[in-house]
Amino acid sequence: MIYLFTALYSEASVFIKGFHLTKNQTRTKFQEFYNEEAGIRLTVTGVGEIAAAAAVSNVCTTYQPTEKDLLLNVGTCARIDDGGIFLCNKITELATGKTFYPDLLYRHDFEEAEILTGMCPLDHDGDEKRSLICPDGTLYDMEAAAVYQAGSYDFGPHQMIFLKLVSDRGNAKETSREQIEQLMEVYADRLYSFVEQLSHISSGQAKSADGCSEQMNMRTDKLCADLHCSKVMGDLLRQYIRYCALSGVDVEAVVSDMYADKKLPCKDKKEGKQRFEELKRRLFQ
Amino acid sequence: MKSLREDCFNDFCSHIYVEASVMDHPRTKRILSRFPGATIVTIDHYKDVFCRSRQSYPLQHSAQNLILAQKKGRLLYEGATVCQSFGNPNFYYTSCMMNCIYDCEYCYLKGMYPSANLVIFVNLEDYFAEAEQMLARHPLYLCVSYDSDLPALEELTGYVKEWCAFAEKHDDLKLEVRTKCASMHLTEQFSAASGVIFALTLSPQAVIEKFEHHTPSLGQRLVFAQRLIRAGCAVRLCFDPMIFLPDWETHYAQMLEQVFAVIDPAKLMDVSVGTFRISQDFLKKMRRQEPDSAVVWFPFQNENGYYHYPRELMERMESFLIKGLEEKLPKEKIFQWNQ
Repeated sequence: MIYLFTALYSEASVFIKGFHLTKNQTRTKFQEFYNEEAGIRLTVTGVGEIAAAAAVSNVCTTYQPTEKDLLLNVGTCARIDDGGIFLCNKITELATGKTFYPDLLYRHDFEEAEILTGMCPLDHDGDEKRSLICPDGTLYDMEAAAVYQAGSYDFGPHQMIFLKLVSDRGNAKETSREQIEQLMEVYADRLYSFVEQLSHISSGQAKSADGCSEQMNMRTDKLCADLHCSKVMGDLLRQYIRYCALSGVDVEAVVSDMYADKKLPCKDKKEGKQRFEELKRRLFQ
Repeated sequence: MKSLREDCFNDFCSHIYVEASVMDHPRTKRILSRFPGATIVTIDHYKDVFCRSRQSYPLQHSAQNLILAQKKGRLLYEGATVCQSFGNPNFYYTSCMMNCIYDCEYCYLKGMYPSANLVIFVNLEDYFAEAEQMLARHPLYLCVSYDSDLPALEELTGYVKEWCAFAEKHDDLKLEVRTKCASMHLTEQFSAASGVIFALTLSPQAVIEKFEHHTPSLGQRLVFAQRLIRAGCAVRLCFDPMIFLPDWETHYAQMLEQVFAVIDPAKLMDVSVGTFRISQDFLKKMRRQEPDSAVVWFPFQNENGYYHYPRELMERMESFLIKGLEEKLPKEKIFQWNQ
């Protein structure tokens, strides 16, 4: 699942349209849109650090993301020099001076930049004043650092991605909702293709993690019962089976042989202990 | 078509994090010049990137990045109990680099470090200064390639050459450079410095293929060892860690045959033997990071906070190899890790 966060609805609409997201009517604090099949859950956080942190925290508490999931923060930002679309490789929170580094492990075709997150819009008069706060080449927004910090309770730095589109040069008040929607549309194709790439990565990781554990759990639960295993024996058995399965030992065949020899299931704990040792011997032969 | 997973990761060192204080250091500049396409990110302290919480070691290893930094504080540490001193008093180790370009599933670095990114400390002179302070008090046996594989990154750093030159100047210093590398052209660069031991870790080819990803084959390592010997270098062969496989006896017997078909045992300085062992804390982290690795999921035995193979198996494996080695080498040249 990709947990997508935008500050404004006008930043979210391009995704709602492009991925056919449905509004979740049960969510009242923050607007939420989702498409289970596409593996996307989008939340509109509202503007500013507090709102962003509250929204991320709320979503994480509700859905409890796992290590297979990704957090994507997309939004507009200010930049004194040229515009464009950027992936953030360094996020600094101006209020505290704390800096965060999301891992950029996956290939992409965006430029990269550092972003500063402030509590207020970058609305100073004159380029000189703005440049003091936000030096050339640096981006400025009001959410990224908060999203990172709130997200880091549930996501690792390799799971959090920050994509920012330059909407203004520090005069955000003059930027209308329509202008933001238009800007998002300009980059729509690149945004869709990036989200699809992330979606593939996320679902790929989910498959590899799920397949292994399900298979092993099914085997061991039945065996544990048939061997009358104690908690300690059960834990050991799980480890033996896991190791053997990973080593290419045909666990099924060994266990099937024991059933065929009428050595399983056992009638009581005493017999279970004997058969447990025998199973271990056969597995590690 | 390549799988998405294989194709989706960034290249090696696509991002280089540099501490602002070493941005102008000559070694930083030299290393950066080798990666003209890399994105440089300025950082305050290497731990800001290296020690972030919840990092994924395996995923980072697929797109390994580099951190250039300055190491402060203590630089030389006493050798750990699970490491071999080879009878040397004053056994110390140092880490002028952290992490490795190789990807051995059983490597303790995966349990020790929170990140798979490589860290190179560019203030090598500070290491030399601390070693000299210690040498002023007593002789020193110093292992410089434990928490990394220095020769594997020699082309980038030149650190082995610098350590060799340092060892040349100090009679009381004995250096060990441990490696799985087999870059043949390096043998010409390493001088046969007195007091430098090149310790080559060897494993059966089956272990290399299963667990030591991206490392040279056994054959390549042996040719590398042979060339080092010819160049006059002191060479130690490390059969450590020995790794259990279902047919381990066959694999280790074949390995010994292959070794002594290439290497003249009389030319070896010594050999070491030890089965896989690791601290319980490291193994716990490794199992979390590598849920699909057979080698770390073996049902080990815990003894005083260290995991090892069940005692009977451990003794059988080590005795088997020692017996084979004793046919070729005098006993005093064979070192067992726990003796």
